[in-house]
Amino acid sequence: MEVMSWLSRLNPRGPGTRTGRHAAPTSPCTADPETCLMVFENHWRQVSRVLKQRESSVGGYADDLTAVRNHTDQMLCLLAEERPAGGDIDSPVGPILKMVVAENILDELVQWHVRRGLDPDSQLELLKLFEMLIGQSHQPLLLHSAVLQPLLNLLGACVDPQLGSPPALESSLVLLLNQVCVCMAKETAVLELIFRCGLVQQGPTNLLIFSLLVPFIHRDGSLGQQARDALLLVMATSASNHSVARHIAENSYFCPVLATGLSALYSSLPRKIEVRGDDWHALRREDWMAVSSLVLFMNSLEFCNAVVQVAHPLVRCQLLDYLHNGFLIPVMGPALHKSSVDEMIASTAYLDLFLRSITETSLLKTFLRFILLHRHDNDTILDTLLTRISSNSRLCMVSLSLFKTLLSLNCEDLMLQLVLRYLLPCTHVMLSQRRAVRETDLYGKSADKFLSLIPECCRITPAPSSERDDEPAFWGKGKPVSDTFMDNRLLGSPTSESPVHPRPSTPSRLALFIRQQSSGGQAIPPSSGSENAPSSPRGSVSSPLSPDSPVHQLPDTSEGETGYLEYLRDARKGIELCSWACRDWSAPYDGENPSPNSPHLQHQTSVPTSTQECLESESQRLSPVPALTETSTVPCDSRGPESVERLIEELLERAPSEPLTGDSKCQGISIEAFHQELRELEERVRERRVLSRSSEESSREYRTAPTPSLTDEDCLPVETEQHSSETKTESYATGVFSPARPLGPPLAQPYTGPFITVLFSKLESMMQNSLYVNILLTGVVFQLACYPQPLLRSFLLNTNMVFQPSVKSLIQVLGSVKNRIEAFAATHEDFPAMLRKARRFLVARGKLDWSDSPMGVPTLRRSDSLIKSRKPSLGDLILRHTNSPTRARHAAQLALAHVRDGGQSLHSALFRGGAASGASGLEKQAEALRVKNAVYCAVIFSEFLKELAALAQEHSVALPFPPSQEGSFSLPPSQKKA
Amino acid sequence: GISDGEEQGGPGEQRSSPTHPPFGKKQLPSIPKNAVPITKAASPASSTESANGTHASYGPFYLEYSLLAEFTLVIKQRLPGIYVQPSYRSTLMWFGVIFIRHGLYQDGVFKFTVYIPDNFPDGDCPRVIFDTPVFHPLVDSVSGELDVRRAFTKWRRNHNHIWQVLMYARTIFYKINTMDPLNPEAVVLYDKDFQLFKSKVVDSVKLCNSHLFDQPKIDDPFAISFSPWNPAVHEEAKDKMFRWPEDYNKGPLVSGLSWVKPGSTQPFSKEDIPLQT
Repeated sequence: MEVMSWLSRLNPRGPGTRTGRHAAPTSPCTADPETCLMVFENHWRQVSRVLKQRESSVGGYADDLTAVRNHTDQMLCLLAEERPAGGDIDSPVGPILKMVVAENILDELVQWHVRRGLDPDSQLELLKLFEMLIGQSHQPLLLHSAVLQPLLNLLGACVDPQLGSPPALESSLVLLLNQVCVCMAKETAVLELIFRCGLVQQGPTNLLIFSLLVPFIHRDGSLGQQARDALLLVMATSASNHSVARHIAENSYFCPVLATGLSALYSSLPRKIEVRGDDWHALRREDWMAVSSLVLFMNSLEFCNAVVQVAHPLVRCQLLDYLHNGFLIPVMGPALHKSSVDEMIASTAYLDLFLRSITETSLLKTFLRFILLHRHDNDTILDTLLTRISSNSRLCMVSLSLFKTLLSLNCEDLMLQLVLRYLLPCTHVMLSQRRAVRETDLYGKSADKFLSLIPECCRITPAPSSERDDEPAFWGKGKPVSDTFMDNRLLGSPTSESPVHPRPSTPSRLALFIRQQSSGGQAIPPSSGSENAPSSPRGSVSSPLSPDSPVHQLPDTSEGETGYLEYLRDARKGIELCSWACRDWSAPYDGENPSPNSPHLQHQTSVPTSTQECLESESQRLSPVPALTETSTVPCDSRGPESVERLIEELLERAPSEPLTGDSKCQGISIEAFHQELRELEERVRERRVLSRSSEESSREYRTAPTPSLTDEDCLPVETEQHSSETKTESYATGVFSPARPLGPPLAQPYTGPFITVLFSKLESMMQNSLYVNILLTGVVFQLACYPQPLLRSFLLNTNMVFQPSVKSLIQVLGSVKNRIEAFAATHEDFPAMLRKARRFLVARGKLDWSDSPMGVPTLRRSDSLIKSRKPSLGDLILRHTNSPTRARHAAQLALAHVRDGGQSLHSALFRGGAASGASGLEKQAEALRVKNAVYCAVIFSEFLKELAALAQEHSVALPFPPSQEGSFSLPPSQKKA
Repeated sequence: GISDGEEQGGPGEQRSSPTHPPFGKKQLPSIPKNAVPITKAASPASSTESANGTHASYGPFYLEYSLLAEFTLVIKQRLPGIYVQPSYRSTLMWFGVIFIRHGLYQDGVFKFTVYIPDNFPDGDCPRVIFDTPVFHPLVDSVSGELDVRRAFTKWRRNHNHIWQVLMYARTIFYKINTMDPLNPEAVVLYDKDFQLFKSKVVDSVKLCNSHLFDQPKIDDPFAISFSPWNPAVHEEAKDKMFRWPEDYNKGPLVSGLSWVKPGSTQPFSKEDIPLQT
C-alpha cells in the first residue's frame, strides 16, 4: 500500500525526466533509476544525521525514532523496487543497492536500533520491513553480506537463544525466514553465504536461519506450514552441500526435534477412536481431517517424509535413526501393546494410516524394520499384530486392514517374515511334490476345483415373481443370449469334430465385445492387430490372448458365471502389479532358490539319503521333458503285504475330518494326486523297512542333530505316524518368529507360519464372522494369492498339491466352510430369499462406496490401490455387474440412511423373518445375528471362490518381469551404520 | 524380442536336445497299468459332473486359458528363431514362422500354421502346416503338412506342450530323419544323391523366401505378414518393443521393496550403501 502511494507520488516526474540512458525495458510504473537514487540519497542523508546525532548526544528519542523509521521505510521501498542494472552482466547491481553495499547502510541502521535498545514494536517493524525487502526485491539482495549480515544481526537481536522468539513476533519472524529460504532456494549461493556469515557471527553453533525455524516444525496452522516449507527449502538446497548437511546433522536440533516432536504429538492423539459405522476399519482422510491432533501429527509425519525425500543423506539417516529410536521404539511400540482393546484399535489404525501415508522408501524401511525386527516384551511387533487378526470384530478388522496395507507394499523382507520363510524348507509338501511347486494350473483344474466349492444353495435362482420387482438385475436371469454370437468351435465342445479351419464370424464377435464392455465397468478400447500391447508389458506377442482381446470373448452362458470375466481381469491386474513390484526381489522363491536346505533356515537336510530321492533323481534324468510331475513308479507287486495296511491307515488319517456330502466325495484330492500319494506312501513304507534295519544308526544321528530341526517326512521313522493324527493347531501357540530361532515348533512338524494359520482359522469361522470381517479377510487372502512366488502360489492355489498331513490347505478350509453353508441352508427354508436380500444389500452398499469420492486417501503414493482398502472389493464387483444403474441407485438411496447409522435397521429389516420364533428377545437377537452372518457369508464365499479360481487361471498365463536395470541401486540408503 | 536372436550352432542344438530324444516312446517312463484307465475315465466323468454343477458355465474359460497357458509356456521357452501368434479369430489356430540360421536349410524363413484340436489337451497332437511345402522328408510335398505325429504318437496332457511341437518343427531342419517319410522323393535323393538333395533344398528355401512378402494365406488380423523394412512404419514399433509400457513405469511402486541380500533369507540383510562422512 505504502509503496504504491509512494510510487504514485514519484511517477509524474519519472517518465518525463527519463533520459533513455537505460535501453533495457523497465516497467512503466518504475521511476527513473537516477531519480530514485537521488531520493534514496536524500533519505539516507537525513537518517545519517540522526544516527550521528545519537552518537554524540542523548535525547529526542521518540522524534528520532519516528524520523528514522519514516526514512527507512522510504529507503527500503526504493531498494525493493529497484531493478538490476540492465546491460552490464558482470555487476547487474542497481545504483541504490550499490550504495547500500558501499556505505553498509543497512548495517548502520540495524546497529543503531540495537544500540538504542530494541523495543518489541521496533522489532516487529524491522522484521516486517526486511520481509518486504526480501520478498519483493527484484535483485538477489541476500548475495550481499551488506544485506545479509544486518539481517542476521537483527534476527539475533530479536530472538533469545534460550527463550526463542516472543509470541508477538512469531508470525513476522517465520514469514521473514520463509522469504529468506525462498531466496536461498532460488540462489543456492545464498545458503553458503548464510552458513559462512553464521559461523563468523555465532561461532560454529548455529545456522541461525535454520535453528530459528526448528521450534516451529510442529506448529499448527499456516505458521507451522510456512516454517516447514522454509525448512524443506533449506533441506533441498543443502542436499548437495556436505558441510551444511553436516552442520545440520551435528550442530542443530533439527532431527531430534522432528522425531521427538512426533512422539509428543502421538501422545496427544485420541486413545480411542469413535466410530460411526460397523464397517469402519481404517482411518480415511475425511476421518482424520476432523481430529485436530491427528491433523497435526500427519502434517509432521508428512514433513518427515518430505525431509527424507529431499535432504542430504547425512540428514536423512540421522532423521531416520531418531525416528526409529525416538519415536517408533519408545512410543509406537508401547502404544501397540496397550492392554485396552480401544487403545489397540486406535494404535493399529494409526500405524496403518502412517504406513499408507509414507511415500519415501527409506522411511518405509524404518517403519518395516521396526515392525519386523523390534521386539517388545519378547515379541516382534509383527507377531503381536498378527495375533489380533484372530480377535473379535473391530480389532480384527483394523488388523486385517493393516495387513492389507502391508501386503500391498510387495516387500520381500515382510513377505519373508510373514509367510515365505515357513514355506522355504518345503516341508509342507510331500517330497515328490516339490518339483510341482513351480507348476501352474495349465488346464484349469485348480480353478475348477475352487468353483466346484460354490455351494449348491448359492446358485442364483430367479426370484419368485412377487419379489422380482425390486430386484436389481445384476444377478437376475442371464442376459438374452443370441446364439449367433457364439463360436462354439472356438470354445471347444469336446464332442465336435476337430476343425482345421474354424470359420469366424467377425462382426458379431465385435458386437459381443462391445456389449460386454458396456456391462463390464471400465471400458477398454478394443485392441486391434499390432498395437494392442497396453494390457501386457511383456511385448505384443502375448497380447492377443489377453482378456481384453476380442478372442477372449465368451458366451454368457448362465448366471453362474456372472462377472467371472471381471474377476479374471482383476486377478490379472493384481498379479501383474504384484509381479511387477516383486521383480527386484532377491530370489524367485520357487522351491529351489533359495534352497530348501538353506543354512539360514537352520533346516537340517535329510539324514539318510532315501531310496526315493535316488529314484526321483533317476526319473528326473529319464523324464522326457523338464518339469514333469510324474515320478518313477514302483511295480505294484513289489509291495509287501504289511504295507497295504499302513497305506490304508495313513490315508484314513489324512481324510478330512468333516463328513463329506454326497456330491463332493473326491474333493481335495484328484485322481492323479491320489496316485501320486499312493506311490509316495509305497515309497515310505519301503523306506521304513530299510530304515528299521539301520535304525540304530540313523536315530542316533537324528538325535544328535545340532539344532531342533525340520525334517523331511521320509526321514522320520516313527514320529510321522504319531503326529499325523491330531497335531496341527497347537503349532500356532508355539510358533516362533525370530530368525535366530528355529522356524516352527520343535520336532519338525511342518508349519506354514502364524499368518497363514490365523488367516485360515479366521476363514474357517467365516460363517460366524461379520460381513465386514469377511470382506476384509477374503481381500487379504486375495492379495496374498496375487503374489507370483511359486512357493506361495502353489501353497494357496494349487489344489492338486499334496501336503503333509499336518498341513491344512486352503482348499480344505474352504471345503469345510462350504459344508457348513450347505448345512445351514438345508435347515433354513427361506435361505434363497435371504440370500437375494443379502445380495441386494451388498449391491446397494457397493453403490455407496462407489459414489464415495476417491479423495479419502492420503494423496501421497499408493492412493489408487489403497482406496480399495476401504472399499469392499466384492461389493464393488457385485455392483459392477449391475445391469440397471437406475435401479442400483434407487436401492442405494434406500440403503443410504441405514448404512449411515451402521446398517442395523436394514439388517434387521432384511432378516426379521429369519429368527426362530418363540424364543426370548435376547435369543432372538443372537439368532438373527447368526443368520445374518451366515447368509452374508454365503454370498461372500461364493464370490471369493470365483476370485480364487480367476487367480489360479491368471497365474497360469502370467509371465515374470525381468528385474529392472537399476535394480537395487534405486533404493536409497536409509539406516546409518553405527 | 522373443528369443535371444542368433544362436551359434552348438548351444542351440544343446538346448533343443532334451526335447529331441524324449519323443521316442521308449524313453518315456512307463505309466502304472491301473493309472491310465482311471485318468482317462476321470475326464469324461468330471465333465459330466461339471455340466450339471454350478461351474459348468466356466468350462469355456478352461480351454481358452489352457491355450493361453500353452502360449505363455512358448514365450517362457524362448525358442530360438521361432515366433508364433494366435489367430484373432480362434485361439485354436496359431500363425508361426521359423528362421533357420545354419545347416542345410540355412537362411530359410518358413511360415506355418498350427492347428490345435478343440478338445485340447485331451485330443490328438496339434498339426503343423507350412504355408509353402518345404522340400523335406517329413513335410508333405503337396499339403505342406509336417509329420508331427511321429514325435507325439499320443498327446499327453501335462507332458506334451505346444512349445515342444514348435521345437520339433525347428529340429527337423537341423537333423534330417529319413524314416517313414512323408516325402519319399526327398529321402531317395538324400540317400542316393545328396548333392541333388542339397540343391533341391536350396531351391526350396529360395522359393519359400521369395514368397515372404506375399499376403498371408489366411486372412486374419493377427496373421504374420512380412514387408520390407520401412523406417516410417517399423522404427517406432521396434522402439516400442524395447520399452516398458508407460503405465508400468508410473505404477504404484517404482520397484518393489527388498532389502534382502541375494542368497540370504534374512530380512534387511542387504548392505546399505555406505555414506560419505
